[in-house]
Amino acid sequence: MMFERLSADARTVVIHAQQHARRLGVRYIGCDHLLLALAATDTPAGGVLREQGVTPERVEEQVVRSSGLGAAAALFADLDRDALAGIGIDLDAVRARIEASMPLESLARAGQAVQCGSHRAGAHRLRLLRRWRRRRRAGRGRAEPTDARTTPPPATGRYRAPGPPPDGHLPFTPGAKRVLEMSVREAAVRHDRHLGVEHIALSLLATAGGPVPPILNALATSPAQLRAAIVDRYRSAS
Amino acid sequence: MLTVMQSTVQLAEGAAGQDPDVGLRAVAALRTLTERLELLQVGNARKLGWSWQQIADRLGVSKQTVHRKYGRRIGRR
Repeated sequence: MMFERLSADARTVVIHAQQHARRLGVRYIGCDHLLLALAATDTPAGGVLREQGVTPERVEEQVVRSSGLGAAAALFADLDRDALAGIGIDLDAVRARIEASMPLESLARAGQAVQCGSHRAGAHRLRLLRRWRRRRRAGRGRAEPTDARTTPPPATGRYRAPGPPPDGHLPFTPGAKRVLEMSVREAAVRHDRHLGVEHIALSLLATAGGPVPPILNALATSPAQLRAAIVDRYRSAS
Repeated sequence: MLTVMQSTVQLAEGAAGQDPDVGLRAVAALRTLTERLELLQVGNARKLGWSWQQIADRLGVSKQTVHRKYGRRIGRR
């Protein structure tokens, strides 16, 4: 399926996005984690992002600021905190109480249900796909030992959620999944045969909702501006 | 006394909001918050072994309603 068509760099982006999610203590891979991974890649697309001020450090700062660290992040991440403050509800106070009184496991499960509740079936398909890939890779491994590119160095960052990082399979949020699906279309309209980092970046920047536009606005840029810059870079390169 | 009343009025005005934009956004956010907390509490209750009926009693709805809403999302204990 899709993962098979990804270039090595693009695979690294997906793998790093997952590592970022784990490190920040959430049980889902969101568009914000994809952006974080993209900003760190050593590719023209990553270069454009960093030139426009979208560095991994600044993205991470925004991700942590908007959704916090840890299991309950997803429960409170996208709520309108100012509107709630207007009717006397301090979201941070609510969150602090809930996090203090609820078992971590319940928080994590509810957080995951909020993000991925209706996408169980998709998660299951992905799990099957991963198992199949693992087997395939194991089979291939015997033929050609140690391919350095298949295991990129782990993603790093400043923040780490307290407690053990979430283990097991982390599903993509519906938004992040759509970004990956639409990246296929980005490649198709450009008549590219490979599925590269630039296609994921363009697809991510074309997404209207989700956490990415507010992050970019906070970094004094916009999805449209970055999209144009990336298209430009690749056009002049080819 | 007058000042207390005045401040109460001010607070009420600020809270209820003459501006529908602020008021409506607050209501929407509050609804989402309620739903998230309900999901969290129901999940936790199930994990602690509560029956759907017990949960439904506390929430003031029928047990079918709770089960239909959360049975799939939360899954078995």
